[in-house]
Parts: sequence; C-alpha cells; structure tokens
Amino acid sequence: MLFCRQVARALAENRHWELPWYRRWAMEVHISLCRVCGNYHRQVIFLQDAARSYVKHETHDEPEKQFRLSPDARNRMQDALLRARNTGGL
Amino acid sequence: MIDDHTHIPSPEDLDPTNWVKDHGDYLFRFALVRLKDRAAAEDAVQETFLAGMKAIERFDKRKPIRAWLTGILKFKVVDRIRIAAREFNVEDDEQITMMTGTAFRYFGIPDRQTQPLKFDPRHALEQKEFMTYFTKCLAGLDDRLNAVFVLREIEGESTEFICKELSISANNLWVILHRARQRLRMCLELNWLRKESCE
Repeated sequence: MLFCRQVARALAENRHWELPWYRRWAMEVHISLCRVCGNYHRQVIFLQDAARSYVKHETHDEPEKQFRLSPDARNRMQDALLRARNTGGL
Repeated sequence: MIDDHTHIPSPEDLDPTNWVKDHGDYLFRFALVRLKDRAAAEDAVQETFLAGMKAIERFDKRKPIRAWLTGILKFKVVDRIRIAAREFNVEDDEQITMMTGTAFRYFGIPDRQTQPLKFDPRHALEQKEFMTYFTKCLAGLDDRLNAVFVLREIEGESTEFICKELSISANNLWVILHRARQRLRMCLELNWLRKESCE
C-alpha cells in the first residue's frame, strides 16, 4: 500500500522510468486508483514522458528550420576552427 | 540522417573543419533548446568545436564523434545555465499554497484538484509535430523555470546536483518544477487542442 506522499517523493527524486519495476508498479496502481493525487501525478508523468520523447526525437530527427545555424554563425565557426588549426600547429 | 553519425568515425569525420557542416545544426539545436538564447547557443557550440579540436588526441576513435562532441557541449551548457542562474533570482518569493501547503508536505495531497489532461497524452507523444509544440512551450517558460526543468527532466540531473549548482533549497526546487510543469501543461493544452481542432 502506497500513500500519496510516497508517490510524490518517488516522482520528485526520480523520473518514473528510473524507479525499480516493483516501485513503479505500486506507484502506477496508486495513481490509477487515487482520486486525490491521481490527476496531478499523471500530469507529472506525462511531462516526464514528453521530455524523454523529446530527447529521443533530438537524437533521431534532423533539426527543424528554426533550430538551424544561420549562415553567418556557420561561417564564423568555420573561420574560428581554421584559425585555431593554423595557429595551434595542428 | 543523424543515424549516419553513429558509426565508427572515418578520417574525414575526425577533421574538425568538417564539424560545422556535419554536426553544427545538431549541436546548435541541442544548445538552443536548453539555453533559449541564440547567441549563447552559438557561443557554446563554437567553444565545443574548439575544445574538441584541442582534445582530439584523447578521443576514443571507436566511438561516434557526434556523441563525444555532444558530451562536451553538455558540460558547456550546464555551465552556462549555472552562470545565468546567478543573474536571475532563483529563489521563489511568491506564495504557492499548493506545494508549500501542509497537505502536500505531509500527505502529498495537492490542495487544488488538478484537472485531467484535455488530450490523450499517449497519442500526442507519438506525433512528431507534438515535439514542435513542446520545444515552443519550453522556450516560452521564463529563464528560471526553463533552467530547472531542463536540468531536471531533460538532462536528468539529480535534485542534489541542481540544488547545489543553483544554490536553492530542495523545497524551492520542488516549487519551481511544479510551476514549470503547470505552465508547460497549459501551453501544450492550448496549442495542441487548437491544432487538433483545426484538422
């Protein structure tokens, strides 16, 4: 038997998938039955999942247009790298 | 495709002058989503390239170079968040009864009943467009909320680490995270429902 407080603490200390399966299971059962804290903790879990999906998306998908380097920045970086290579004796 | 960069690096991959072309956008997005500021993100990426170039001898050549560069960038990003956190007041002065209330502290019971999400979260997370809204809403958070949410939920740093680095108490961290979640949820509901109703 878990109490709302234990669920709150478990979610505050870990992201839900980092918990051992038996704690996660107990927590999920509590959340699905609890009228007091269920909605609240479902929301916490949803946002943890959203963050995890985002990290997955970041590793597998190309950056969208608004997240690409501007041509200026690109040139500046390229110049900096060339300069560093020439002066650093690499 | 990004997956192409997970193979064992070829001599061209190791040449720093190809890095901007191969990894520039990828690293820039990584930095921009976490730092919100384009100039700061560009600086962090440039520093990463230069640091990588200096340390290339120490790079384990059996591993993908992108993961290695991302590791360097992550340090730079966390460092910048920490420095930026000194500028804004991380301590919370507003009263939040919900999280500091006795009911929550002792029993984990939120004071106000939270409404269920207005859309199906599993369905939403499967959609690629959802990520666009997620990054947009994340960027819309104010600096303090964004910094804490990024460190905790995206980077998965421990609460001890965040409390120490941003010099806040565990209770304050909880309050800030709570507020960040509320704002994100409201923003996502607004945007995602609008999108779904347009279809």
